[in-house]
Amino acid sequence: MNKFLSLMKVNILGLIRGKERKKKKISHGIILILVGALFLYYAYRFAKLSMKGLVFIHSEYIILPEFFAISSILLIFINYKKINGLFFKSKDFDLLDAMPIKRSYIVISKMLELYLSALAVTCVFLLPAYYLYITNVSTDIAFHIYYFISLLFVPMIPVFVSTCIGYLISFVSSFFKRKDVVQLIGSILVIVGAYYLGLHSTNLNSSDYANFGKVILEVFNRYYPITIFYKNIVIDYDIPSLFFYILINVGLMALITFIITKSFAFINGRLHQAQTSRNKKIKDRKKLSRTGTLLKKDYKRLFSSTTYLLNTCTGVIITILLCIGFLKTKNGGVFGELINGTKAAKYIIPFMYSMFFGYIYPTAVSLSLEGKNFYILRVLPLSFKNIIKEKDIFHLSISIPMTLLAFFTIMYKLNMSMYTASLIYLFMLLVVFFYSKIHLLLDVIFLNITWENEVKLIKRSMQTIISLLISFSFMFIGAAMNLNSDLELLIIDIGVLMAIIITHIILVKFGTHKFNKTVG
Amino acid sequence: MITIKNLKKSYGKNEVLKGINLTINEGDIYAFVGSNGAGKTTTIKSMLGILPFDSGDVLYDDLSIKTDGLKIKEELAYIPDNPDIYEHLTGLEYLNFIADMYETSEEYRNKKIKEYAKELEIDTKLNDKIGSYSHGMKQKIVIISALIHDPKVIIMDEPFVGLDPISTHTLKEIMKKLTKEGKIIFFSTHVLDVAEKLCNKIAIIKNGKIIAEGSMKELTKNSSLEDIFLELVSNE
Repeated sequence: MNKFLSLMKVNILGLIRGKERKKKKISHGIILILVGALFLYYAYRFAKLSMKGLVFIHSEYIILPEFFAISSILLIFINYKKINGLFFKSKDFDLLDAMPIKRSYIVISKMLELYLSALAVTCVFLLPAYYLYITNVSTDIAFHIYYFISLLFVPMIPVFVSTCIGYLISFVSSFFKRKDVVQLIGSILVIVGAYYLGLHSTNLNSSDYANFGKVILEVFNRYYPITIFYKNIVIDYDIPSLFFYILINVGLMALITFIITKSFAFINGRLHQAQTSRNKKIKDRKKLSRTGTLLKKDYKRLFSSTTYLLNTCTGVIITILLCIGFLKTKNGGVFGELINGTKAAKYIIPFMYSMFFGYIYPTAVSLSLEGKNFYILRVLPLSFKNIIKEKDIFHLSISIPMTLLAFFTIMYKLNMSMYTASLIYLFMLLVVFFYSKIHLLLDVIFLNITWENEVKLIKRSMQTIISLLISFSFMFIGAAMNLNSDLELLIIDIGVLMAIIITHIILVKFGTHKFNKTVG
Repeated sequence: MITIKNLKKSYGKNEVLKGINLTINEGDIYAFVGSNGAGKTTTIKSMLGILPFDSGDVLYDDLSIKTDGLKIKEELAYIPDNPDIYEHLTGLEYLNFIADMYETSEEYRNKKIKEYAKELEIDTKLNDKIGSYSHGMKQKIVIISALIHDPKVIIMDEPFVGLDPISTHTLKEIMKKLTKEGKIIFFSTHVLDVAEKLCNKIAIIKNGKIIAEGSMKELTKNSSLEDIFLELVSNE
């Protein structure tokens, strides 16, 4: 087989299959399909909600560019943090680079791997919008042809933009001694920058409702200009737009592939320079408890990897930004009108926050991240109960400050009795306790200590996907239940408490068994 | 004393350990020799309680690794064949992490870290991240971490791999010193010369069975360990 094809085959196999035994592979495959179906369902629900409004203002066509822009912007944020791990910190890059394969082949194969995973995410977003469009608007065969041709190119610009951002962060950090800190700052700046843009682009008021369709399209065009090409292709069947669209997409992908190929050796060499300390003295250290020292180890691990920190603690950044946004909300804005005008807002907003608390999931991969070091935990005089205790503290030490922040902003903005406030805080506290248990249980169920690429484990493992899915579920449950009384919230609190107890019992029984069986 | 009783382990239909029986006493430096895939690492991991076995038992005095694992591990130390350790920690942080796990006192650990780090010539590198260490340096850190809690039993899987000649000599001296204090040292090795000169007892394993066991003097009466090993392995 051709060298490049062989390389692609290995990469694609890495994307679609793990190292599990056949029986496990089948069960993982089924779970993956179910998870994909659920994400598709959520996207469909979201698209349906959006379509309902668009039908009302006779602007159904907007659903296509809207979901195009949303999926593209989302893809940029999903992918930019992968770049450093995929191109520069990947364990297999040195191995491949030592073989008689052109470096451009290696980079192209990695780029295609990125593109294929982005295409899968694109389909999850665009197919529900496509379905709703064809069921609400009469279309001809040309529409389907234009739609599916353009679909293949949708992930290219997001992959290009995210690769540029990730590349720039890796490049700049390679000049610093504390590369990890620079990467962290760079990544946070991207999120904050996006938030700033988002805040200024959605400053709509009531009068904008009348032209909502046009306003939203203008916003997308302003911040993601390629949207206009996409709209011209799928709505107006414009061939020159399709030509330019393909040319721009392929051209940009080729450009970034060329840049990475040319500068890979330079950046990689600088990134792998050993950081040696000038301090040669051995300082005496104080004794810590077992839980304390395990906690210290986990914090060190969290802050040692930008990928681990940013991906599993995105909820911290989002919660802080959400709280700032919430506090800044004026009565005149759409959001302001919503929270002040809706009586049930005080019951819905905690669910919204709960979804973002779910984006704090360092423990969902922390056991698997031990990797080849797992044997250390097994050899030490530690029981699995010790580990559960430490992981709970690890998770809660990050989550609880976020619940407090969210709670005080809710208290500040919304009028409520002390009893309601207590129920709301109890709910948020119970939710983060539940996340703590369920994330660890997921990591135990899908434990993988033979990973080769940290990025794949953190971003694409089953435990990560299901953790995020559970977070989404909280928002949907909140919206579906339509709570509007303290009693209903109390019942929900009791329900979450029961879920914590059940999850803990399963975790102790199943986790102890699995822990004792895993050799490392 | 460690007693391994009729230890059996299979991976599917493949029987890896076919009833291992061994007795290791206080003060023994016990070499465990065998070809690649003979069952050395499986035996060691079963002894440590990190690999469940099918039948038999491993007893430390009267305690079974199956039922009293945590209690036994308090007095146990393990040096693996491949020193994979937390690369994001510095050498010193790793040693303190291990010391905390064994609840070693501050005074004792600080003394031992300095003592062993100096002996193994890694004292000036302890503030560097383990990720920047060579294989040999990682091995030295693992060795120190195994000794700082003053264990009664030290089980090592190929401990000399990757060590420079000076460190190899130092480790041998440390092992001799520890056994004089009544500790048990059990290690697997391919280096027959080291086993012959250092150990007082030896067991040879082939295809999951012990084919020779006893004191080094008895086994090597008239010829070298290498000759005996080659003869036994080819005859069986």
